[in-house]
Amino acid sequence: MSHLLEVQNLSYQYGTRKALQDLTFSVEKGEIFGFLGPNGGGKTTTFKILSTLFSAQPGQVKIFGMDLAQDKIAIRRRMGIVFQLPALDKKLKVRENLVHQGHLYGLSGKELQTRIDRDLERVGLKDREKEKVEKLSGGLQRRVELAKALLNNPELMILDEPSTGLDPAARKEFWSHLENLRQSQGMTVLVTTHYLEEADRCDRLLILDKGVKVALGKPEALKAEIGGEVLRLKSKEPTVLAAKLMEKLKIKTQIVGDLIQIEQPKAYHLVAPILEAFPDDVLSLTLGLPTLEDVFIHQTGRRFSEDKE
Amino acid sequence: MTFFLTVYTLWQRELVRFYRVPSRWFGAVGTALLFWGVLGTGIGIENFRAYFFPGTIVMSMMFSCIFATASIIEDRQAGFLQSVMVAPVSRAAIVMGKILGGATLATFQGLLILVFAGTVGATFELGAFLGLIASLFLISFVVTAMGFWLAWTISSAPGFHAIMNMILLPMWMASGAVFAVSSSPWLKAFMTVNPFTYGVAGVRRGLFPNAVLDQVPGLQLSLWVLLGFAVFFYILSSIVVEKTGEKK
Repeated sequence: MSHLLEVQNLSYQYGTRKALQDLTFSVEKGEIFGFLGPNGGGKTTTFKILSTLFSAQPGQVKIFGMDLAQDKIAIRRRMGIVFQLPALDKKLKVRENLVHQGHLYGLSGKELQTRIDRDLERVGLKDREKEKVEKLSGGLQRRVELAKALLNNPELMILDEPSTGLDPAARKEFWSHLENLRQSQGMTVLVTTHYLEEADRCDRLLILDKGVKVALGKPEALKAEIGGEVLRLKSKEPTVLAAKLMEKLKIKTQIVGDLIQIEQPKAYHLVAPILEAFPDDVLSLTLGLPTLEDVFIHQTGRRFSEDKE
Repeated sequence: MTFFLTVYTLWQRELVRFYRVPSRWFGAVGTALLFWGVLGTGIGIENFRAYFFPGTIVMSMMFSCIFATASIIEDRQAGFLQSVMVAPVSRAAIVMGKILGGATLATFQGLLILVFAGTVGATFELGAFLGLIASLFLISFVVTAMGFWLAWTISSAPGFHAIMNMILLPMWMASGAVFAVSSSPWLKAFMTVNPFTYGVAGVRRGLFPNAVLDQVPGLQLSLWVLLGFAVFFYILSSIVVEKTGEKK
């Protein structure tokens, strides 16, 4: 069986800046597939190509078995898209926004009204339909966007950083809506994010950095690759301490920003020896299970958050 | 069918948005009336207020077109137009819906000035009046389509306003709105190829059907020229939109 989405050797350039380089991956039906990466990593470019805004060249993108370069309109009909920046007319009421959206997808009359009712119900906004969008909170506006993207019964939903600017509670709620839809409709979901908690909720994850694929897999599998625990030490002079650790205790370390990072199984055994050997060099010490941030560090040697705006 | 549904829905959205933002009602009409009042009174030539009246209508229409097309820039980057661009509809339909919406509003705002037509001795004749509406609508369509094309190409709001003012104000001034003819040959040539000349002429002939207007283009000629410009700028806008996101 063919994949729902297939991307082969996709590259994209803005002038001379390479935004995407030779990206290849595929997505299966019913997956929640995430793109994780710092800003400027290539997520938004990928989103723009997949949502049919940019033409992919060079490279090939196949969605529903059709070539994106040739069958744009046919593909658009079967996709739902949620943009990072609001795509609602704030002067219009909630329902009016959905009516316009429906018309653009060739829906009208009774059929359209039924679908609007259904989708407002789905995102829990039926009682707010007569309000102007500008009167709604950020979280509710996001739900209107979701309802709007659902109107054409999409098989594939693409979302660009959908929960940016939402508080954690609203973000959680938005995600539970997404997961419900995947479960009840068998919808495939592609989502870009720079929130690690969101990335953890995806079935599979593609980590992008500087336009290059650095990792691809299930979040647990990516974390398991690191193995064991991650020990982080804070020190005034991390390079000096790292050298000492290697020399005296034969511990392999990685310096990430102002931290020393040690990834190894049973890293907790090292806590006492390190503190005994260098009581004055270690300012603080944390021990934890690997996170997606550690996966990113492991692959790129940089912290994920350093690249944030 | 989706073509017409798209055009209709985008056109209707423009009207509703206008109706929801009452301050826009005053902007275009108010500015034009101020010009008319101050210039019409200040320039002490006999009957200048009457002469200047068609130009005032066109000016009100012009400001309305600028408002309508400036919104495209923001709407496209962070607004409803984002969804429109990924919908399964033809670009030509999107452009038509947006321009028709803007042109309808601009025509309407030009017509609001007609409340004062009685004070300048305009005569009402049905045929001439319909000609006036057609001219006003066509020149609105031309200016909105031009604005659409520029807004899409420039994609920065301050840049758009600067360029629009730089292009539209001279076009309006050299349209027969303020002075009838010029002895300068290059100005004469510019007036001949200026769509505003034909817009103002159509409105003037509609308001004063019985006046002797030797130096003003006829109504039929004006309508045909305006139609030509409308088609030209509509196609130009459709082409820029079609090319969006394409890589060479």
